[in-house]
Order: sequence, then structure tokens, then C-alpha cells
Amino acid sequence: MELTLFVDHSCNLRCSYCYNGKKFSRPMSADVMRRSVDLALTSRPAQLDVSFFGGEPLLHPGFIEETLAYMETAVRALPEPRPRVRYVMNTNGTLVDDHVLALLAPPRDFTVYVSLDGPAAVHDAHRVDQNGQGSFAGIVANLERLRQAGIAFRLVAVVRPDTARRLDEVVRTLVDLRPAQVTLTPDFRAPWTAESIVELRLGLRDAGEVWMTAFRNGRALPLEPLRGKILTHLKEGIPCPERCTLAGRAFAVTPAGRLYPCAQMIGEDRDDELVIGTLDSGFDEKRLAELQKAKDRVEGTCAPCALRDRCQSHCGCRHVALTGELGLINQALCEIEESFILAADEVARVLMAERCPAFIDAYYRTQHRAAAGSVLTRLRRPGEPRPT
Amino acid sequence: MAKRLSANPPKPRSRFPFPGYPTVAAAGLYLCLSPGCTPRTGVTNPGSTTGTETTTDVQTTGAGPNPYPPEPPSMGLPDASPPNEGGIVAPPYQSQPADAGVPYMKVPASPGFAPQTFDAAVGVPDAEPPLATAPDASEPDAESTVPDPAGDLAPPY
Repeated sequence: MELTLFVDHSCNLRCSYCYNGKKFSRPMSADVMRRSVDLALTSRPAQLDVSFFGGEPLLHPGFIEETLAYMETAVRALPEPRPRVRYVMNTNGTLVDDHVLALLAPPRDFTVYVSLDGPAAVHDAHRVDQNGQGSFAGIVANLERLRQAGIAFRLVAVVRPDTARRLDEVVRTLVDLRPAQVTLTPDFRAPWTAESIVELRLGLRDAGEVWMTAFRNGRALPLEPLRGKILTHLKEGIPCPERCTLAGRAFAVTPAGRLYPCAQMIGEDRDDELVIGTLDSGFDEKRLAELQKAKDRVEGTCAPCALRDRCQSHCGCRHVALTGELGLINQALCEIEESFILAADEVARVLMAERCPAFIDAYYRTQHRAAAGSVLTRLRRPGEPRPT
Repeated sequence: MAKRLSANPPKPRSRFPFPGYPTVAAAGLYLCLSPGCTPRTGVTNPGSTTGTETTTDVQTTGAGPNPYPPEPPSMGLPDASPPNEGGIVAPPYQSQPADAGVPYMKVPASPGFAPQTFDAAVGVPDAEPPLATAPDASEPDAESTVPDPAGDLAPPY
């Protein structure tokens, strides 16, 4: 179960491509937070991920602290077996002080995602403050503070048509900052053209070279979504439990107490279209079923496609980003997904051909060693007959 | 002037190039018993009807037949399997030099390596039995094929 708290609509940055609309102050109250946590715990999940989203959540470190304290109290009050609780912080990385470091530091189980689009010229082209000043330098300095505090961070880079060709610079810059993971997130709302898709493929090819170099140096850094695309081939598809079910395993709460299937559907929280309930009335099962039915239209669209089992077209928030309507996708999604798959396959093909130890260890052993109840068969050497 | 992509999805890709590296099942390496993680039984081990049967087979005899037909060394070339039907006709990869301006260049094989078809009898060489140790906590969930939770949870751009 995943609970996302949309902490505030306010943000100290004015990123040109932000999809969350106007920045206005409407911080989540402690009461809304507590009721959200209670609602998430109602189903007695074995695991609960609490994600802080916005806006910029770190505008309100006191709220974060209060949430952590309430969570720990609420979980302790539950009978055994208690859920395992993890936290996710989605931040622009500009507001890291000693208080924030103390909140995020181990042993608390925090996964910290920081947005960084690449080198300064790429990042500062879009991610600026209210005065139009770039945010790159401050974020890089804060990443160092996180590192010194022992807080692992993952970097998220938005990929747009105007930056797609520079993905090698993007990945190189991010990899050099020693994150635990790098994620390339396409901006599906951007005006993708046939030309920009070709640039994306060129950019991904070059980014793949950077990634391969890391592998050859013994570093198997997870670079998403390429890592995920490789796994969809290794495992012959996306397991059903990992496919978007639209609020089946997650929901988001706004400061106004309204419930959404996904935080990326909230925007300014003014439209009722994607609301699936409120804290006062609970989940609107009828509305949720309608939305799920609408989303599932994409299954008919994509059923004949050879890439269906490797594609994220099942993801409802992507439909909304692409077309504004659940269940409807467009050519941009197909082209972008195919571009990532081709790039991932090329990296895997080359590294496999080279018998790259870091790649084989990461994708043919490490990736599969922790599956509960799984039995791992021994690898055979070339020419070795199958056991009989 | 650049033309925006179609508001509709392109014609579904009816085929896609063989990726050029083996599935874990084809590598004779592993099988996960978790619900939803079992490779398609009809492909991995034709004749099986349940994951359990497949698992038993793999545990005792190694992976089933190669789920893919034999591929030529040029596997993945567009002329063998035209990708992108109905979509952008992107330049092919692996078939032209990089400086020709194509998205994918032919990557030279490493010295001593000849491209080969991976099948169930080949496996992954020179590897010790996988260890059932916990994954690195700093890495994503080991079993997740979802590209990344940040894909859904990323900061609002």
C-alpha cells in the first residue's frame, strides 16, 4: 500500500514544464494527515509506503516531522503483525538544512528522489526560481550535504524534446554525482515530433554508451527506465502485480482532503474528474470502477502490439499526461516507449556479448536472488549438458 | 516546420527484433515462484499448464526449450523484423555506421567474441551459483520490473 501526501501546492521553484498548475499556498493540515494515515492503515497492509509530494514538501519540514511521529505512534498501536513502514521524499533538492538532514537520515527508511535534469545548462533552462535564476548549483551543493549525512539519494531527470539529444551529458553528469539510482522521466506533455523522437533515440544511444562504461568499470548503476526495460525481457513481461490498477494499491490525498488514484493527477485539485473520494466520505467505489473501466480501454488498443509486455501504456497517469483522458494514449507514448526499449536492448546485447561481469551479476544473478520462495538453478557453462 | 506526432497511437507493432540477450529462463538460471513472476509456461516450457509444473521442470532439468527460434547473427536488424509499423520510420540501428547520423550504430564485438544465439543450452558462462542474499538496500526492489517508482512519484517536474 502506498499513501502519497500532497503536502502543499506551493513551491519555491517555477519550472517551465511543471504540470501542477499555479503555485499557491495550501499546506496540508495535521488533521488531514492523520486521517489519511488512518485510512491507509485501515486495510492492514503488510507494508506501507508514505510518500511526500507537492509542490515542494520540504517547505514544511515541521509537517514532515509530525507525520513521521504520528506514523510511528499509529503503527506501534497496531497489533502484530505490524506493517513495515517506508518513506519517500520527492523534492527539488533546494531546501536541505540540518533539520531536513536529521529527518531523512538513517535509520529511518527514507528513499529520497531529487530532481536534477542534467548539467547546469540543461537543468537551468527549465528549473528556475521565482526570479528566473537557475537552481543547479544549490542542488549539487545539497546533494553533497546529503551524502555527508549518509543519506542515499536518487536523481530524476525530466527528458524533453529540447534536451533529448543531450542525454549523454545528462547521464554523465548525474552518474558522476554518485546517486543510488538515475531515472529519466519523459515529459509526456511536451510537444514531441518525429524529429525530436529521432533525437531522443540518438540521445539514448549515447546515454547508453555512458551507462555501458559504468558497467565496464564495475558499477551497475540502476538507470531507469532502461533497467526496467531489460528486466521486462529477462522476465518475459511485466508481472501483473506491478501493473497499474488505478488506486488498487495506492492513493494520494490533497490538502483539501480529496482522494486521487495518483499524485500526478492532482494538479491544482480543482477538477472533480479524477477524484475517487474524500476523507469525509471515503472511497467512491462507483467512481473508481468507472475510472478503472475507462483506463482499461488501453488494453484493447495495445493488445495486438508486440511491445505490450514491455511497455508502460497501462499506467493511468501517463494517459492523463498524454491526452487528458484515462484509457487514451497517442503516438508519442508508443515512440518514446519503443525508444527506451531499443536503447535498453542495445546496452544489454553489447554487455552480454562482452560477458561484462557487472552486467551479468546485476541482471542474471543479483536481480533475482531475493525472490521469496524462488529456486535458482545453477548457471551452466557453454557446452555443458543439461542436468538429467 | 516540425510536425507534432499523431493524436492516435500508431498501428501496433506486430513484431519486434529479438533483443539479443537471453531471458533468465532461457539462460537456465532461475525461476521465481512468486505469483505473477512465473514466466509464461506455454512459452518457457510448452506442455506445462501451471507455474508449479514449469518450476519443477526447471529445478530438476534446467530451463525448457529456447522460447525463441534460432536467430541469425544479425538478429535484431530491421530488415529481419521491421519495427515501428505505422509509426516513425526511424533509421535502423546496428546496420549503419554511427557517423551516418542514424540513431543506433553497429557496436563492434569485443575481441574474441563472436555474436551468438543464446539458447537454453548455453546459459551464462563463468558464473557461480547465485546467492540467496539480500539485495543492496540502496538499489530498487530486486524483483520489480516497473521502471521506477519515481516514474510515478517523481517530483512534479
